[in-house]
Amino acid sequence: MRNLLHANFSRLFHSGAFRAALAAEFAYALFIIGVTFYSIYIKEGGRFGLEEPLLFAFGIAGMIPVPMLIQAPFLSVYLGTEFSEGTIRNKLVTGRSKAAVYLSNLLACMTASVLLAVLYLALVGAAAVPTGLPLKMPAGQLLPLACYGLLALAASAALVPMAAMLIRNETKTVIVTLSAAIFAMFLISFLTARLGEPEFTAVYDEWGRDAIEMLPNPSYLQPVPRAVCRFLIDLLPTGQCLQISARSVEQFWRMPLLSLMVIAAATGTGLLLFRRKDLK
Amino acid sequence: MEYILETNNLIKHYKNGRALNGLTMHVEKGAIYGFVGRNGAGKTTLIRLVCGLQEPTEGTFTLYGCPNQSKEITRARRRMGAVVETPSIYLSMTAEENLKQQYQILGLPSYDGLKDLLELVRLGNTGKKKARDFSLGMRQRLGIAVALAGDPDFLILDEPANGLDPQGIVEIRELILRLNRERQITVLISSHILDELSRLATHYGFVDNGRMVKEISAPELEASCRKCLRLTVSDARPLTTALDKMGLEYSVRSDTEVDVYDAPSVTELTLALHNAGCEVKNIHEHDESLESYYMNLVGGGSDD
Amino acid sequence: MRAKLSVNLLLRANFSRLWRSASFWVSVAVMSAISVFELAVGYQPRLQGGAGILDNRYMIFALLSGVVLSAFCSLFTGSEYSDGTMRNKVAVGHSRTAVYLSNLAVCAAAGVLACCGYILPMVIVGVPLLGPFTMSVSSLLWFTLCAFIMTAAMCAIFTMIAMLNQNKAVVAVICIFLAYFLLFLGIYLNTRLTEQAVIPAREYIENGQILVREAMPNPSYVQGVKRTVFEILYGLPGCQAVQLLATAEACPVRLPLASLGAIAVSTTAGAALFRRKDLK
Repeated sequence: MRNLLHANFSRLFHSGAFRAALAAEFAYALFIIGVTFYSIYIKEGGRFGLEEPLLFAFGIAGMIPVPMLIQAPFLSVYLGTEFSEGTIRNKLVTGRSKAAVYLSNLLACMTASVLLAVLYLALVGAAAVPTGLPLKMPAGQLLPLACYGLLALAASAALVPMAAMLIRNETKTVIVTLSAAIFAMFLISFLTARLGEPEFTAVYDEWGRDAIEMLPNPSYLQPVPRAVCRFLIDLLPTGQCLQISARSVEQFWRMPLLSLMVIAAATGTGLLLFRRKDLK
Repeated sequence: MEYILETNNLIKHYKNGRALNGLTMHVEKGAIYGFVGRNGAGKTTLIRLVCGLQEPTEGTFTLYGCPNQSKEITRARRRMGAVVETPSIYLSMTAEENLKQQYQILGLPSYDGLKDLLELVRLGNTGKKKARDFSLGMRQRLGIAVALAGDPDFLILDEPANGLDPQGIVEIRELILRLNRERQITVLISSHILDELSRLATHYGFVDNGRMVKEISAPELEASCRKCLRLTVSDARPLTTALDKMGLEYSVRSDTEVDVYDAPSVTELTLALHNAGCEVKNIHEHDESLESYYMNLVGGGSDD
Repeated sequence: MRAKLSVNLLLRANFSRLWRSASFWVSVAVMSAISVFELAVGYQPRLQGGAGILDNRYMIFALLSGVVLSAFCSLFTGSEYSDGTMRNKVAVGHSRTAVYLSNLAVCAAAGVLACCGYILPMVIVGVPLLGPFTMSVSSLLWFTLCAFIMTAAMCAIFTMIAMLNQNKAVVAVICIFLAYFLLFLGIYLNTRLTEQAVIPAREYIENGQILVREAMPNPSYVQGVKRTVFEILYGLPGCQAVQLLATAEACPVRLPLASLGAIAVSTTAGAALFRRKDLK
């Protein structure tokens, strides 16, 4: 297992895909530093502090899950190559168990995903030093948020080995994981919008000035669908990351547990299927 | 002399160096041309240039007398079939579907002959199996069938023995010989399995470092190669003393093995060895012509 | 006798490959599934009485086609490289231009067919379910034609990317990101370009008094060179989809012309570069 991990990491650091991902994360960090620092300092005059660009490590203001969009294709290429080029055989023929192969891939993916986010945090943190941007959120609140975000990223990375193993074709894995990341983004924004529907809507007078009546909103979610909606947003790693990036976390304690559940479920399923599947 | 393919000082640069370094070669009509060289010598690069997959950096070639810069070259290529490097087949299709594709690409009016072609490469009973699930040898044979689909007069095969079982190698050899004799198809085969090549080729071209080192016909090669007698003895020293006395040329392979050139009198030699107390364990005529010729020509360096 | 080689042969071969291609049928199925989903979503407001619902639902395919076809084009064209079959065509003497054009044609046709996968359920099921279109037949046909041409232009761009890069996975990533990028760019440009030049005068009540706010220029209004650039970008395939939806009833002729221009430019450049490319 140690050897496999070692081999995986050395392949990771030499892979073009990882370099491309690093470059993308770097560019993203620079972009956010530019945009948020500009808006905080020059335009809006500091409603938020450093926590805003820092938490954008997990997405842009609850809307675009940028880290997922970077890691989905990168990790798919990284793992898909093993199946496409058949190098996974080299590991198995030297007597490694399938479980060890799968777990070492999983660990490499989760680490790479966390590393990318750490790179971002370091860059934004470093940019804050010369500009002296203050932290307006207490560190005791920011730190667990960031940790939960990293865990959610790791959970989304844990889905890639499962997908790569099921699909076994580099390109198709890329298409599926990237489309899934984008689909999750739309799904979360749809669900969030549904949750945000008001219970009553106002009917205005003919001049549009005064509300004369309040009608129940048919789009308002009833308790059961509401709970399901909420649960889905919290369950999906993309949902967690977007909540963290928007600083709109509601059920604090539930997120890490759900992330761990996702990791466990994905790994369990992946391992089970990998054990059964015949390799070529 | 009519040449199907003539190359003149071909040079091909890649980002990381030269693959061809002024290669000049002549493939005679009706020949089975064995193209010999170590890995990375430039064999596949030349084939890619001839197939039009890449353009030479410098130099020219003619195919059926048609220069490579002329527009007519595509028409000349129509008479050619090739398997370059790995077999070019759609992995998601069956053998038959793959051939149908190639028939359509060539604009053949009907699928007549498709079944025969599949039989010819022993893939007649693969049914609905996708090429993805083929063995390496089956893919190789399907690649050859695709190359043969256009009924070419000139067939280029890049390492055709790769991945074939012994029976497959024999069948491909017989197929090539038959195509060459019965349909007068000229064949260019690149290979580094010299033993196999020597059973087929009528001409040889030896390449090294992107250059043609020697072009030679099989009879010329035969003539220029010396046969030898390989003796295995209990001790080589008395043998060399005896050979020196008899004025014969030889080379010592090990403490117990000596190759003797020319044609010594075996009786005389064994008597002399008997007197010197040296036991002769084995004598056989050794004919490693192509391999030793090649090794002498390009040296026995490593692949890189 | 040897038949004369022409693009027709390659086209026929490509189409027979298209009918067998799983990724093509998946693309059609995805479009149809979204169509059915849209119908189901549209059915609820219909029960509460709404007009023109079918028109709105119908036009969505223009937004989707680029995204769905980005994956298809990279897989279909990419397999010519990964399976090495591109060599079979070039080695028997087909010209590079013919190979390029036949791939372009089949991808564009697949694009239009995938759109039909969306349109057919809309027409067959949608009309009885949601009532007839409110648009005139000629507007509907004109909109559909413009959307088809734009889809073909998107496919032309994806084909260019796929023909110039031998790595299928990289092509897939580039094409998918490009499709979404163009879509979001279109939405952004639509927002910016529909800003009013002047904020109209408005009456409002404060402390029981009716006050009038003068009309004033809108600071968000885009003008000058910037507006011209925005308008040109808004005509790009992909971005154009948003404009098509916005101007559905009277889509200006310049939109299909811009798409045809994009096809011409990408094909000329793509074919020229492909002719010089070293194949393996």
